[in-house]
Amino acid sequence: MSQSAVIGVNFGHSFSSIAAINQHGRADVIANEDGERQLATRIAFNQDQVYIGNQATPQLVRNAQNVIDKFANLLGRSYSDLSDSEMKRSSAPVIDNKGVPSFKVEIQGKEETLSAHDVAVRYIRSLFLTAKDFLSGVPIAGAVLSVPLSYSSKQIAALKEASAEAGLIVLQVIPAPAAAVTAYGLTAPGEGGSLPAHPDGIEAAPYAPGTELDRNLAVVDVGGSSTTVAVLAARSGVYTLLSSVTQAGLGGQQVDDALVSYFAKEFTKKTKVPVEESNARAWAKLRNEAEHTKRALSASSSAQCAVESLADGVDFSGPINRIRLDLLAAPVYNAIVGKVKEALAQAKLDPCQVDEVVLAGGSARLPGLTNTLLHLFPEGGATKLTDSIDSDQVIARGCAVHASCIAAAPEDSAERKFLLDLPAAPPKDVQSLQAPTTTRPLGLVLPASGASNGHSGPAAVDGELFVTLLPAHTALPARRVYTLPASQAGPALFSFAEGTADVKVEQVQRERDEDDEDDEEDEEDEPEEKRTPIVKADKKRIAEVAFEAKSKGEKVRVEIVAQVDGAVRITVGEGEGKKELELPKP
Amino acid sequence: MAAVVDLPFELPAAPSSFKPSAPASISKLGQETILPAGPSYVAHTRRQLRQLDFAADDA
Ligand SMILES: Nc1ncnc2c1ncn2[C@@H]1O[C@H](COP(=O)(O)OP(=O)(O)OP(=O)(O)O)[C@@H](O)[C@H]1O
Ligand SMILES: [Mg+2]
Repeated sequence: MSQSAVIGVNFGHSFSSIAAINQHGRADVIANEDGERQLATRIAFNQDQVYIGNQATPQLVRNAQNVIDKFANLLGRSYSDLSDSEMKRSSAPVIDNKGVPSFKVEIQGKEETLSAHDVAVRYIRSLFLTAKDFLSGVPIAGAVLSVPLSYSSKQIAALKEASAEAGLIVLQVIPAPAAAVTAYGLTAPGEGGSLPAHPDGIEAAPYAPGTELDRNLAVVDVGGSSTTVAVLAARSGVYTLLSSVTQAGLGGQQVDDALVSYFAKEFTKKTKVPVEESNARAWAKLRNEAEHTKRALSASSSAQCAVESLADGVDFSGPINRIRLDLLAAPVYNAIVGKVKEALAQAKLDPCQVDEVVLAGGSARLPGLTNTLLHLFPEGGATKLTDSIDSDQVIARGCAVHASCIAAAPEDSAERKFLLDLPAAPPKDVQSLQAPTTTRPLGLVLPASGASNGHSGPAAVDGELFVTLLPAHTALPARRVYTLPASQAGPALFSFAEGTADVKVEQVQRERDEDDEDDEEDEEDEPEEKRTPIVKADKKRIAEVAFEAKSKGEKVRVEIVAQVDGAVRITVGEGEGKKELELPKP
Repeated sequence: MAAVVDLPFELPAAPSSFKPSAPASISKLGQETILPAGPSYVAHTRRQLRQLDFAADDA
């Protein structure tokens, strides 16, 4: 790859980031010359100076009318289409320039009108230059960009256009949740059929048996001004979209707002000097410092918010700890968790049926948010949190990983041409992305006694254990290969059936561990509800075969190949003793 | 080469009177949207475009 590089670009409404593949083949977010990886999506003009990214943020205090931000989501939109909340900003107002959302700013003493496109081109060009500087001369052969799932065809096309004009060779635009899971390579087998790497590294607790290649994922992306929850079926590295919910006006900014009003009250309490939103300069200072303090509280449990001459020349300095932040931000956290519930309901999944929650977006780094989020899932249940890659970096890194996948495809290959020709449209509107999928899990029915002793994994139902081999929501064609131990020498029974996923609800007495002093004596322990995901096997078996095992514990191989039309060939065993079952197409 | 998952669940012995019935088909298929990203998606697309089955694609 030395002769040229590919990059991933997360051009966001609030912040942007770029990732490139390093010499170890790993995707890394690029730091700019100030060492920053999260680059504010903001441009400011001051006389002959142009400030781009985080350097533009201080300009909000005295030069707000010449600062342009929150322009990314305006690309490809008509002015009349914008909501009030999208228009609301403390920076340069959005104006209607013959239907095109634009900004009027003073550049080098002259008033100019820039459309969202013009601003985006300037901004994306600066991202491109940052990448070129970082890659010190290695030509950038192509870029993959991420877009929110909520983007329309017009918005995606407008983004591609602005990026091309900024000098990028746009290989493909991919949905942000897909980029997040691609960064981890969740359920994706490695080259030569190795099992997927665990996102938390080799020492991490392994995935439950049978979920290495197949898991239900909830991707929770909390940015600055929006939250998107996407529920995906991850099937051996192929991801299908089960549901998605996007809520604008729900993100880090709402946490900042809560902090700003808290600090304003603290300032007045301490100094008797009033400070309100009408004092635009003071409020801008406080907003910038509040965001900074919020970030600090993600790293340590207490921080200091300090603003020089906040109002009437009086300085402000106020301590805050994470507990206070979480109290102030609780309504925002709860609203975000509400969106997760909505998305799961749309996907017809109970929280206990979610195998993995993947965090994306800068605000997902708020510890208080992740704690609140985890309460939605059964304690000690199978649901695992995946955030070993910083959530603000994961989307850009996933774009870089996908870019390297495209670059790895031969130049003139059909698959590369196909990827590059994918239409600029939301995935649900792209015909070639609609795939036939299984609707019910196909698996083995084993006697409950055959249940693995002590292994986590499926729970038995009515004395039967259903071991899923090809889960529902698997895009076809699909192949899976497993081994299972024979309980004794002689003919081992393979009894295949489809099943129905359900949730077992038990009332469980919460065992009080001794050091629970804080529990008042009189509070009788009301039983807690325990929810476990189960699959109940159909009575009717779909196929059965016996295979001669030579010894107890012999690992018998079973391969399942499902064709596009739903015909399935099951091969049990290997070599000449193998048995084949042909299930006709439905 | 397929990734092989070793499951710990024991296979029961087939009863001596075991007589398998003819295999039936799985349930009617659904249709869902694939998100176009990741190495496995590129491989999925390669197999589809070049009409390769898994075995041929392994070669
Ligand atoms: N370490 C951190 N702790 C808490 N919040 C953080 C942290 N890093 C970034 N943020 C917040 O994340 C938000 C930006 O998120 P992100 O980088 O995902 O932007 P985005 O995708 O452009 O957002 P959107 O499109 O929703 O406006 C900001 O509110 C920022 O304050
Ligand atoms: Mg984002």
